[in-house]
Amino acid sequence: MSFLHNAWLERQRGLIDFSVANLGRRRGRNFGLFLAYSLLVFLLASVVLYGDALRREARLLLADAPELVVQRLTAGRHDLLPAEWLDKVTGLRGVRAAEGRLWGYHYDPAAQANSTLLVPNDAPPAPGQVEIGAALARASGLAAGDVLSLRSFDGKPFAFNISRVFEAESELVSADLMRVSATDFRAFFGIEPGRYTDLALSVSNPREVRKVAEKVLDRLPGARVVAREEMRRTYEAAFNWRQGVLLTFLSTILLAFALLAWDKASGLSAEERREIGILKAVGWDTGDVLRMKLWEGALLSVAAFLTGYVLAWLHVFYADAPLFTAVLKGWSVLYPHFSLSPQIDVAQIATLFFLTVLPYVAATIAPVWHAATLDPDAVMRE
Amino acid sequence: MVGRGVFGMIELVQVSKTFNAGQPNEYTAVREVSFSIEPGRVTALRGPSGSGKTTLLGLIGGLTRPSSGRVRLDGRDISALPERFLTELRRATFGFVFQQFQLIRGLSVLENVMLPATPTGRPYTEVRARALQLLADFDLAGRAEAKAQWLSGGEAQRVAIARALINDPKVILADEPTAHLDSVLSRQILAIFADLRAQGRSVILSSHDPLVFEFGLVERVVEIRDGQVTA
Repeated sequence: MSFLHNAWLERQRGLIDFSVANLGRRRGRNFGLFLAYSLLVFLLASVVLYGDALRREARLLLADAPELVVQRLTAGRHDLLPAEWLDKVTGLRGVRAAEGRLWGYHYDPAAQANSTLLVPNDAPPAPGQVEIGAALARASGLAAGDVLSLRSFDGKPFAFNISRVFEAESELVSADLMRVSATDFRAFFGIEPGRYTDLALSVSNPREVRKVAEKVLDRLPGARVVAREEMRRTYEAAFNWRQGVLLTFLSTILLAFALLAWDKASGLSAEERREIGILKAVGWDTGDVLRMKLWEGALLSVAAFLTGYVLAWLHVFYADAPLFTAVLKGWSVLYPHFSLSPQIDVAQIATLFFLTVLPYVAATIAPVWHAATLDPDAVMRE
Repeated sequence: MVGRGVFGMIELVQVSKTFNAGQPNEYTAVREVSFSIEPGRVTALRGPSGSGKTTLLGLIGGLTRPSSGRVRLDGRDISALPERFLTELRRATFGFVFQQFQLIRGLSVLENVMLPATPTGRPYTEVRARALQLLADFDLAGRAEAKAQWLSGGEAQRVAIARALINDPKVILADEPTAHLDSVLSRQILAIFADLRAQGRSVILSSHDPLVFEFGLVERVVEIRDGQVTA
């Protein structure tokens, strides 16, 4: 048993040795193929990694979102809502809890970025204090204890003491978020007491979300009710659409590569046919020749796949995907800079692997199989 | 090395070989040939170009199958064996020396010599040691790392013989082994065949080079003309 096992290993080793020597013999051709292959994997993997990472960020954002958000619309536009609305929905059947929320955007011309100011319902900071996200702190060079000065709605400077820098699982959150007290929020934006940005409702039974939304609309005819599920679908649709646009563009590259690979891999030169004949004549059977070519194709394509994937990973998570940002992020360019959280998804790697490596190996094997099944005596008749 | 005795008895019974059967370019290279080759001897297939010598060597060595008739090795019909078994048999029993040497360009001499051992699964170190020993035997020790295409005709022929011997076969088949060599090199190669014969191997070669027959090595001559045995 152990002899058989060793013989199998030795045989694979011999085949790999020969495959490596073979790759080295046609250096120019194989290196060109490797470069084209790596580039393709890099582009494909970049799009997929970027799209998936954005979707993941969106999921994290929505995980803490309330099941229902109630907004007030005035002339079709989002408007502040009165505190009485909160009283009207609090007693509704199916509503476990309702709270008025205060949040808004602030554009800082100095940083050329939008940030989100929010009043947390649990443990808000004391008046005069602000808590900022870690990414925002990094980007702006601020730390706890510093003073953050912003211009309020009437153009006057408004100073906050940074009491804490907080971490969030998604950098999308920590990159732009400032937590302040309700008093400061109202003073900063000029919002009178008794008004909220919107209402957050949690629903006891998730299956009743639609029914509860209908009840809210009955009570508050001017309201707009947004379900978390709808937000999730909107995000997904936006990212999928953008990813689709890029993949369509990439499909032309994919096609070009397929043609190149087919041409390079499937066309056996007279020299290669002769060599297959020699191998068969000296005692290799069809299976040995196929295994050797399989190793050769696998070594090249796996090396190219790993190179392309690692470069794509660095491109997306460390270089912030400069190639795709404009198309894939899509939203305001004023949005503050943020990095995507690095992640590795085995299923995604497997999918990319099967899409890029298997077709290549198959394209390599088909013509070799044809050549390898011929009688080896052609070598003698040359 | 090789055990002496009756191993390697080859019989051809009514063997014919037709290429491109049914096509306009159909061509019969060997017609109803029957003869046998005793083991441990040097046998030469002699005949002019195109007489069918190379095809006969291919049939004997299991490189190709007869269109009709039987090829037997030690009484066992090898012409009908499935490819895998035929390849295994070929690998273990026959060592081929081709007319054009058929070394693989770009690979080193050592790699070329080791090639036939790859599918056997023998340990790498053992195969490498044997290959280096064979190269040393043939005065090629210093050329182990040289690329195949850098070799002279005489060196290439000796490398081809070393490759044929890597799996320690009982029978050496050599197609026109002196065709591309001058007289001095031809004699060197024939001397190597004499050594192989002395080790107990069968040597079957095809040739129409008078030097081969004058050398005193050939023990039996099979005359071939137009695909048939004439003597």
